[in-house]
Amino acid sequence: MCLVGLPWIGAATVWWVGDTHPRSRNALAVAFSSATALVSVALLPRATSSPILKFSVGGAFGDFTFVPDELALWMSTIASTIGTLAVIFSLDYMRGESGLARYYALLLVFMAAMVGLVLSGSLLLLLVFWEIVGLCSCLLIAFHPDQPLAVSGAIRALIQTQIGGIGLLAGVLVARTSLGSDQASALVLNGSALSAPALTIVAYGFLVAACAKSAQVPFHTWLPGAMEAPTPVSALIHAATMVNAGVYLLLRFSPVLSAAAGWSQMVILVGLASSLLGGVMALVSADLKRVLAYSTISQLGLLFYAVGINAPFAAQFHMLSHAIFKGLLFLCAGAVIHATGTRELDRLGGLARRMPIVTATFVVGALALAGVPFLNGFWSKELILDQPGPEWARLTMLIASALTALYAARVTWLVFFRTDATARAHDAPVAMRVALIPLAVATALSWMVGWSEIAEVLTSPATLVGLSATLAGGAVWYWRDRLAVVTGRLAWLRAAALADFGFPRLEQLLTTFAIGAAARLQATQTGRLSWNLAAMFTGLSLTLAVLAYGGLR
Amino acid sequence: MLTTLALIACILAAAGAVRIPGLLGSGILLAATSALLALALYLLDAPVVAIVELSVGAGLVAVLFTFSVVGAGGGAYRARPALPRWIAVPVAAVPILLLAFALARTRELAHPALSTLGFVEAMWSQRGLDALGQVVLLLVGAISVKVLVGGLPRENPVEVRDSTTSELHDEVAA
Amino acid sequence: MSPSLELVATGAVLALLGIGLYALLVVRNLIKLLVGLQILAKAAILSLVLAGNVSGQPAIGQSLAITVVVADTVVAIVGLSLAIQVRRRTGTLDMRALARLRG
Repeated sequence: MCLVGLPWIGAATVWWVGDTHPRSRNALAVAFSSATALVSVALLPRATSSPILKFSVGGAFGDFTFVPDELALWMSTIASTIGTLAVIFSLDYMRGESGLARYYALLLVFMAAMVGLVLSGSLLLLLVFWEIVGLCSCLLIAFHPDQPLAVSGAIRALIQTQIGGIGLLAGVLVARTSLGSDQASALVLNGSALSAPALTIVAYGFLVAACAKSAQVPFHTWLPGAMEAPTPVSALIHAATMVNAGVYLLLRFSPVLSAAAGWSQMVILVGLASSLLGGVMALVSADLKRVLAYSTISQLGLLFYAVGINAPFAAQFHMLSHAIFKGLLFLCAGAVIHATGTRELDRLGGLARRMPIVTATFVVGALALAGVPFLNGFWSKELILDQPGPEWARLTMLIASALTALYAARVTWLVFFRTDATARAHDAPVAMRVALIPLAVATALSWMVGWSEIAEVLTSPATLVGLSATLAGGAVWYWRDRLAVVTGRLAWLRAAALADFGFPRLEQLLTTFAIGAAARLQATQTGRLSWNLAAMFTGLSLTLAVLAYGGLR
Repeated sequence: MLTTLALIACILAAAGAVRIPGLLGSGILLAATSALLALALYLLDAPVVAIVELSVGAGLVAVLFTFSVVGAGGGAYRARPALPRWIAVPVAAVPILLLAFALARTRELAHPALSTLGFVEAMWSQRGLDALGQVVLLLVGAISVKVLVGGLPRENPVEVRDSTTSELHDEVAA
Repeated sequence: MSPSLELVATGAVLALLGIGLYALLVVRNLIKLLVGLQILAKAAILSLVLAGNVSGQPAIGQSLAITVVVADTVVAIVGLSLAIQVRRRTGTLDMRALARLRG
């Protein structure tokens, strides 16, 4: 109960305190978020599959339950811990900005919604929290409403995640009417009772929702655009928590959903496409945060792949690792941006000398991303690649893994080790360090939590293959001058990638079409009262007829 | 038999009220519709409803319509219909057919046993709150009519006669 | 209630609804429109009484019908005074003059 309610109270309190007492406001924000994290950690050993909290909301909506089982508690711990670190980081990053009460309140609401989402046992409640999470994300992206890029990024994020929301809504409604209950446990336990068409709708609806929320192809364009948000927001929402909501959805229901025709293959395909696309885009991108955004898309693709080949533990484990090192990377990027005032890779360089702590932590994160032993990324990634699955998929994943190493090397070198130095840079101030260092340590050590399961990675031959992919990626970077011939041949790919593979163009076409259609439909608003009444009547009788046709329950 | 006749006559009167071009005739036929409906209701074992419908529909509403027609400068009124007939009839028919379909499907529901609840009891004790609501509604209606027809008190300021005004007038006139 | 009477009465309800709906679509004069609305209301009254009889709860059906009569009366009264105001302020009773909520 505390876990669910705390962040809400925190949000309200912070907002109420407002901007008049900045220090107490900041202190409250930190206090509430860390309290949430602590409670979540404390609950971990006591995970249970039965609902502990139940609100009855009337016959139509069933019970709103909260079920703190293992998956849920792990995710809420991740969300609240990284959230707390992001809040601490924000103390320095956002210093001097106005409207911070709104910022911290939104962060806390976001944490609350995320915690609620993973803990929710009722499908309808899940939907509610899903939407709240999407809303907070949009509001935080557009935290500076006077920046047009930020606003358009926020709107695009909202539209795409809402399309996913439709998928979730359809799935939830069909599940509810077919099973007669809106508890998630009912879906998991009795899923086989769903008829084939119903199951298809539920499975693909959930998949669409997960793709949109986790920025997978073809719903991935909002994530790079969301980088207009303040960096701690990006760290929290777009790397460590919200985008995991999609994976969470799939993880929780995959036992049932994998029975739907072609579903697992679809998940794998989406994962592969996103991994490759993200990898290539990260390689050509000229903006530090966008590289990280594409990297997130790519890593989430790996997670989707893991879900598709039915390796839930591996997926969860990598989700943990990814949240930690990606959060770390984003916060480091935040430190860099804060210090130098720019995000463009062209203008950054040689920061190793000026920002040693940030460099060290970033390198740790990048190495984990690339899958270098013995950081957490290595263990979890190898674990996924170890699992049995279709060979063509594994091969593609290996290529994606090499790409990952490649772009990780690129961005690290470009930002920190290139010799052309940036004009002004200072190392990270205290609060940022407080956030960065624990994350770096966690990156190095978090794999120990699942030691018993992952010991096999050491002895599996597949590990060697994975390692060599990583090495290959690093090697390509190192010898890039000598490989210039090859890169020249691939110039077409670079051009395509710079145009984001045509996805934004497609969206532009769709949007123009929608607006045009809406303008033309305006002609039906005649403004005549009697016709409006007649239309209401017709609509009502249509509804009654449909209900009568469907049979009265 | 009589009930059927009454109902048919009611329908015809209603059709006439809509089709007839003059406003006054419309009002009269509306009153006739009410009266015939009241007859049908009485024959359908609903005497109280019949009396209320008769007095209200055929009396109050008819009188009001006549007054408004006169007050709004009515009388004979001929205008082209908003929608041509050949469009309006099918469009009106669609929801009706849908409803007929819905009703047909619901007739399969079982008919429960006859309840012995008396009308008065139903009206006042079981649905007493409803009766209260109706009273409030009537009062609100009366007040709103006063406002609508007479205008808000601010619009019609009452003249204040006192010595100062007449003095001013004298000065102005002088 | 004999089934044939039920059928006739249901038919009457539908017919009245149809006439009222036709009036909504076709009519241009405000006061005529109010007549149409009254007819719709009568259909509702009849259907409530009918439903009460058919489902074996005549008392409830009738009390609901009385509620509808009262509400409908108030609608008629207020509607007519509104019509008078419209006439005073715009000089016409044509519906097109009121179609301001256009798209």
